Amino acid sequence: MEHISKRPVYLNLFKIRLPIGGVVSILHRVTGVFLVLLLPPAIYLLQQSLQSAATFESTVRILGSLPGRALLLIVTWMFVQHLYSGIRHLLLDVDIGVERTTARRSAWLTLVVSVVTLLLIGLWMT
Amino acid sequence: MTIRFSIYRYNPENDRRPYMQSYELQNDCGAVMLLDALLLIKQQDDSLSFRRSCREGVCGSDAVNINGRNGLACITPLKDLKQPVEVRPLPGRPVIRDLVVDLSQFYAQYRAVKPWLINNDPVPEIERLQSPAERDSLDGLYECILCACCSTSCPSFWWNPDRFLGPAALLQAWRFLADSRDQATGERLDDLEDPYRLFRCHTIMNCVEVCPKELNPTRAISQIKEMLVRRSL
Amino acid sequence: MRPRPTGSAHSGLGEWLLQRVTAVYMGVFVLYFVLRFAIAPIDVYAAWKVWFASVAVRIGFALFFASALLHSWVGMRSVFMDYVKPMWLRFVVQLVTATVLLILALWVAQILLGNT
Ligand code: SF4
Ligand code: SF4
Ligand code: FES
Repeated sequence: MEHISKRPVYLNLFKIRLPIGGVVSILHRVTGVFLVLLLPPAIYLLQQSLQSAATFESTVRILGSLPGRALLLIVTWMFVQHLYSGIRHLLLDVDIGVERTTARRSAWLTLVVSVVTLLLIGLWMT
Repeated sequence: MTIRFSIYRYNPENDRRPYMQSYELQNDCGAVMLLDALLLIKQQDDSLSFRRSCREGVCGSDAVNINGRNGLACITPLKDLKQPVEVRPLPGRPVIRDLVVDLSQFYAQYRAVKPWLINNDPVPEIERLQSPAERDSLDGLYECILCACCSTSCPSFWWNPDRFLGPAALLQAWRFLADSRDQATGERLDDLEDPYRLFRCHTIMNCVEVCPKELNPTRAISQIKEMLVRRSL
Repeated sequence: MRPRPTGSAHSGLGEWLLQRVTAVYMGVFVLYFVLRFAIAPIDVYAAWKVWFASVAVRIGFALFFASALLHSWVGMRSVFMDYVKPMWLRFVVQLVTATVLLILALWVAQILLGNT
């Protein structure tokens, strides 16, 4: 079967159409990896907030500053997108919404609801 | 007016690498489905290779990637397709020539789920009976024509073709797990319980998107998972 | 019984379930946390300390971080299984990930057990 390995394989990800469910799924993955990377800073902030009144103040200040809030918003988007697509996966697991059309709709829904959540939080933060 | 096509070409004897070739057909050429068009193009250029047989969506041999989406050429209406119609082989499989891919691994995976009834009771005189409800549970499972549209659209299958069974084989695994006459449920589940064969499925549902028979491998896969969970509790 | 087919020592089922159980816990915890602070925000250090001094809150946090770290492990492992093909490289990245997550676990434990 040696010759088989020499055969070309067609796998051009830019030419293969990724359905919306696939888009949400890969987003779930990407946001998940980013969230893991954010664990250490999150733990650090928790530690700072508890250490002393001074470090608490500076933590609040950092988070409340403009870049801090912008960063917080991005992180929040990643979190809610991951959360909502995760909930969608859980529902699919228990046989809810596994039909092609509903699955497409719920995939779109996670994107929309994430952005709406973000807007609400943004409004609330200002 | 013409209909424009762009088709993936590769001939292992002459070509070092695959390329896209343009073809045109007259608007009034009479082709309704993409397969008709491919056959007309083959009259222009008989070096073009592709598989087909039944030309009515039953044999599953003419699955190709059409404008980025897997489907059967014979039941894909030409008029719905954006031009130039880009036709490529099924993704992720070794290309033998043009649109013909090597599906041996796909068939091996099908074989690996033991797609036959296992029942050690003596064969009854007439038939093994099922209640209508038991028979109904096989609907949406047995209709699979093994066209490979689903498995070759599944990212998990692209990354782990050697160890993940892929949606088509898993649909058939469930078809026999769900069969009231089958007695090998335990063994079948054992075979699936490893990190790859079944659990590489991340519920992406690309498979459901493309199945020309509108079957639902994702549902079959979650049902297998549910059965595994039940068993372990 | 027939021997299991080859593969890793883990059955995929355990990880798959773990991923879901931890996800549900984190979801519930975050919901509680957000609601708690939306209703009655805490913005002074003393109040934050008092809230955090409660054993229930600490247990809640401990379970949250345990879930997050386990969830991270299963998730990252899954990512590596899909994209990192050379076995030695996969072994290395998994080892690094596991070590980092363990260190994070110790760090969290230190925070949660410390300064009451
Ligand atoms: S499940 Fe559908 S797409 Fe997959 S092989 Fe069977 S018929 Fe083809
Ligand atoms: S649902 Fe599972 S089998 Fe279907 S495309 Fe997604 S990963 Fe593949
Ligand atoms: S030719 Fe048989 S399915 Fe298309």
